[in-house]
Amino acid sequence: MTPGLRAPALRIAELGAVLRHLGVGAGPDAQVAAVRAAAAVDIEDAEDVRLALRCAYAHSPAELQIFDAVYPLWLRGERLRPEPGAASAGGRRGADAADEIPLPGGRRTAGGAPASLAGYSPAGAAGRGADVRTSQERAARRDADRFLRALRTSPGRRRRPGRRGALDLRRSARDARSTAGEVLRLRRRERRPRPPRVVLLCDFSRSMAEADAAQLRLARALVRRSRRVEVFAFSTELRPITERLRRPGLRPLRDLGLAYGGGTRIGASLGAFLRDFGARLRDRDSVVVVVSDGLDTGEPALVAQTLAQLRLRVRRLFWLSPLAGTPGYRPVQRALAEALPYLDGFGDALSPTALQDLAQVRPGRDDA
Amino acid sequence: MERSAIGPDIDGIARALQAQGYVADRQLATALHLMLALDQPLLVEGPAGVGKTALAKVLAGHLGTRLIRLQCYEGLDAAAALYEWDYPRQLLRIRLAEAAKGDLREVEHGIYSREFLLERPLLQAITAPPPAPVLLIDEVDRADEEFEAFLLEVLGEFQVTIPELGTLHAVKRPHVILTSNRTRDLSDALRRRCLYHWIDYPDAAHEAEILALHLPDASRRLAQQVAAAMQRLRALPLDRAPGVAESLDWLRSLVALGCDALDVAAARQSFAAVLKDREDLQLALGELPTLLGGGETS
Repeated sequence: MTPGLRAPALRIAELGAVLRHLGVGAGPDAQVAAVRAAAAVDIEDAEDVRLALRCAYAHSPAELQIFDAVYPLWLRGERLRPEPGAASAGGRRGADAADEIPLPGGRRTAGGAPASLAGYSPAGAAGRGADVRTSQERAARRDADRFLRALRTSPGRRRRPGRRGALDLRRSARDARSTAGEVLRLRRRERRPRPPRVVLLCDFSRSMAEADAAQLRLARALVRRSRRVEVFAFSTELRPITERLRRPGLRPLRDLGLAYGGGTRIGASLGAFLRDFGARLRDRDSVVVVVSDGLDTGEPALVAQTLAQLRLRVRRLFWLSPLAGTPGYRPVQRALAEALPYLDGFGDALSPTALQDLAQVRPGRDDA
Repeated sequence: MERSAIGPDIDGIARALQAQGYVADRQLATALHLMLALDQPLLVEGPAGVGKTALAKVLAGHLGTRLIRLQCYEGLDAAAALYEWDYPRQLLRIRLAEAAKGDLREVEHGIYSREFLLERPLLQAITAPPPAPVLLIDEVDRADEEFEAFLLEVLGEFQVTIPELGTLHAVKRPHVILTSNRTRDLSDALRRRCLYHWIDYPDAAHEAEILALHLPDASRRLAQQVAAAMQRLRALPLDRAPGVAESLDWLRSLVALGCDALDVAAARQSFAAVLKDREDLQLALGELPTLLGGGETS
């Protein structure tokens, strides 16, 4: 680098340090990349420099937002050393990096007071925008992992060395070298177990409003952990919401195009699922989880009827209720009472280990 | 570092892509310029159907080089992405050599030569002769996490060690574009390795420009109407929002149907090109007059 670029390089590194304190993962490698990026465009062209730094520093939509907010402040030369309190919030990765980078002196605002990063509370930035992961979400993901693991099915598409399965020519040929080139033992690769196909049916009727966060968290954790998960929302009608859950950010329901409906018609909704999406329950290898409090405005007998049909086509049928954790709770809601005989497991939707607890339930009568 | 490629090159890239029917904004052109100048992979994210894959194609066209594509899927592993020996042919060669009482040493040497190596996309990209190819690693979010880790290693070194053959280095590092639809979180490590660009749906003017560029026969006004309707359509809570490909299909259908303006009747006739989900279709049909801007047809 030419000596003339030294000062800009320090400034660019400083920008990286500020971004890092706001939760953007701008490590030393990104700082180097940013300096190189700025050197690769016309340094006199402010807009090009901005665009270059932008794609070197920000690596997700959430980070782009933070970058766009910070950049003008940085450009004006405002002093952006994060306040001490902010360090712990942003700094999962090396919070003290800013101190290692010598900041050019005298870069203060006219008044001498350090400009604060208005609009960027450390708490908001800590989670790096859309990729926020609260401890509850982490717990939910762990829960989903254990659930998916416990209910794994074979065979998957990936293979691993095993006793049965397709010939592993690569390993057979390698082994043959130790027997003078004669293939004495055939090596095989068997298919690896894969996560189960999961269908989550979530009740979004008004009575479930309080369990909203827990329910969405659970659904999102499952969807994020496996591609073989599908989520449907129902109240008086049924809607697939899987793709929406896959998009980043834990969105409120109205973004999902849903509102809390009045009553629930559990039986009719399950019937609609069977009718419209029943074809996805292939080979009886799906695991169906209904999340509902069982407060039904529909016909209870219909619940029993559809669950009986459903039970024949799935591997496991579970039910989670947000009420199940309340002391002294008994599953007496009519719909639930009708449902119980068909269930392989029943649990508390609000528990952080809701899913894994279900998975530990012994196989139902239909399983060999 | 090459200092020749400065400033004007960004305009050059944008113009070259435009010439191939790809409308790139300045941020994208800058990202591509940096990717070439810094020799770093570029991670492109965005909703489905905004032209992430097309980008790699037009870049290869612009550079006058080969496009090598690795489509990711669940279960993709190193053997399918990197290389595999052609075992049946190797065994055949051994048997033939035995029958001919050939020199066994020579046979051994022979069967582990490049001739018996099946090169998969990643190895093709490494061994490709200059000019460096464009390597498109498409929908990397579909691959498993293990594969991502493996990819990171390859992208770091651009060399592959094949035990029987030795280490193969890239003569010239391929230009790598990774795309992701964000169906799964990518690892931080992979993100950090790359430059990053987010492609969103184009705005109405931008989209009309794309439409006009691809379908010069369609009337300008029709293209603008389609672009405007698309904006409103994407604002609906649809399950599968239509991408730019759908806009093109829509305009193409309208032209094929002989419509010269986008009115309710024309939209009804041609909606099959735009929405491919029953619920979405019902929702959008209900909103048709608003979608078409108040329902006026003139």
